[in-house]
Amino acid sequence: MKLKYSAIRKYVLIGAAVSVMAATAGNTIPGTFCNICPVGFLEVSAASRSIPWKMAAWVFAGLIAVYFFGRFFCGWFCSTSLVRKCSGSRCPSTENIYMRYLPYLVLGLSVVLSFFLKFPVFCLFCPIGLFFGFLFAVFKLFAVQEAGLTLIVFPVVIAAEVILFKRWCSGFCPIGALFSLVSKIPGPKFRPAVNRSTCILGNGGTCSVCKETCPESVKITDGGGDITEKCTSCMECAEKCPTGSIKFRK
Amino acid sequence: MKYSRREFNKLMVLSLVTFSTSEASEGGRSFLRPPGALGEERFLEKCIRCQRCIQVCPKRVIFPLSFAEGIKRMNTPVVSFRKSYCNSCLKCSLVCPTGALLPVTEATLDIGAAVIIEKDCVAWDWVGCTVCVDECPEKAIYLDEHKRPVVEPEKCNGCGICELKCPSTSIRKSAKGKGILVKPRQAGTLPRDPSLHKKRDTK
Ligand code: SF4
Ligand code: SF4
Ligand code: SF4
Ligand code: SF4
Ligand code: SF4
Repeated sequence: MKLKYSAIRKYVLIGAAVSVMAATAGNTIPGTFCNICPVGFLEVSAASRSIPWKMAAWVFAGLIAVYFFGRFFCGWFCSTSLVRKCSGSRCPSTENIYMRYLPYLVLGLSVVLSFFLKFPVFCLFCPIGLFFGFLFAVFKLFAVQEAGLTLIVFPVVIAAEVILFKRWCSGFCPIGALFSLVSKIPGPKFRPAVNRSTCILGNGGTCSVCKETCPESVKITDGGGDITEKCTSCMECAEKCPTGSIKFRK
Repeated sequence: MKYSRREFNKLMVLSLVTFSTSEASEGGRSFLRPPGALGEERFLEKCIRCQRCIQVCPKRVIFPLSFAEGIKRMNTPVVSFRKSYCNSCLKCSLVCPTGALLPVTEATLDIGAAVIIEKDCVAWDWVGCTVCVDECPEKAIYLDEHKRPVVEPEKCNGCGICELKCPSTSIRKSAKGKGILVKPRQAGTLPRDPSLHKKRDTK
């Protein structure tokens, strides 16, 4: 039996969350994703008018990976993707032009508001931060038998953000937006691509399976900048493609 | 009710301004922050609520603040000595990625200062309890001529052992809480003097 991409992705996503928690229990260094978060980095720089140098190396390394692989973090490591996968929530496709630019606006606002309000604003709502905050609250429940409101509030906020507001990842998340900006910088890019000789469209037929499955509304058969900018390498399209024409490559 | 766009914008700006001023006007420090924390205002500018300090603490004395304490402070780390105390391992101050906590040494570690709560301390009107005096690793508490404990804040590092060990509530039913509590240093309280640090070999 061949393992499906979506199944592999689920295990990787779970693995990512589990390793963060294992690191916690074992008191080892990595900590949560916040440590490498480029949005957090910008927010702190803006709010405190100084650069958090200790974060800089991690953030830079992360962004180098993004430069080559685009939003792979979104598809394969982000806890929000895990929540969506487990809850069955999907970003509905959209042609809406405003939705397309909203994440960049949110990114800009997060940094500007952090500057004026003098604290990292987006971190308050960040579903990734809240996810791990929630796991820590559960942990605390067992470690010191202390229940907090956190146990109720965090899951509610996350649910509101990613389950009710289905377009969080494609239409709101400033982290995804920053990744998009970095992956737009020209250079070698590794993303899924269509093999035109086997694709139904390349042979005069009609098919729109990949376009419809894509949670980021990328038309992968059209090629071009959209893929570099938005594709999360989730491989949902590759899995659904009836002729198996989509492969991950340079 | 209907808003015109201009009114709406005005409302947004106003609410943001009131939010920031109401938060900024609060002087002094009112929460016990982990070792090495910057002043409250600078601390809030830098802390991204990554929880690393919380994760790394082997004594589990650092907790994320509940959102009930205000949305701006939600999830930022605070220290609580209800179940444990700080053993000066210094790990929290070293792992903070943003510099909201700066590295400290055993001699400069300063979480806050212990304060005797006179109405709850049993030694205040009953000679006999010397638990905090005996437990304090910094020898920061002495007994005065009435055998009442007195804290010397310049020696105290806020480790919380006294608060943790204080038996007031089990000795006396009327005691509302511990007879000694570690509190953030208020304006006017002496800072810790590193030269008075007592070296320890046990952790
Ligand atoms: S867009 Fe944001 S929330 Fe969605 S997967 Fe990417 S980082 Fe996570
Ligand atoms: S193009 Fe394919 S791999 Fe990329 S985001 Fe869309 S469905 Fe996922
Ligand atoms: S120095 Fe104290 S508060 Fe900080 S991690 Fe060590 S025991 Fe915990
Ligand atoms: S390690 Fe630093 S940035 Fe992270 S929660 Fe603690 S104080 Fe805040
Ligand atoms: S907090 Fe620690 S150092 Fe301060 S008086 Fe209590 S036991 Fe002593």
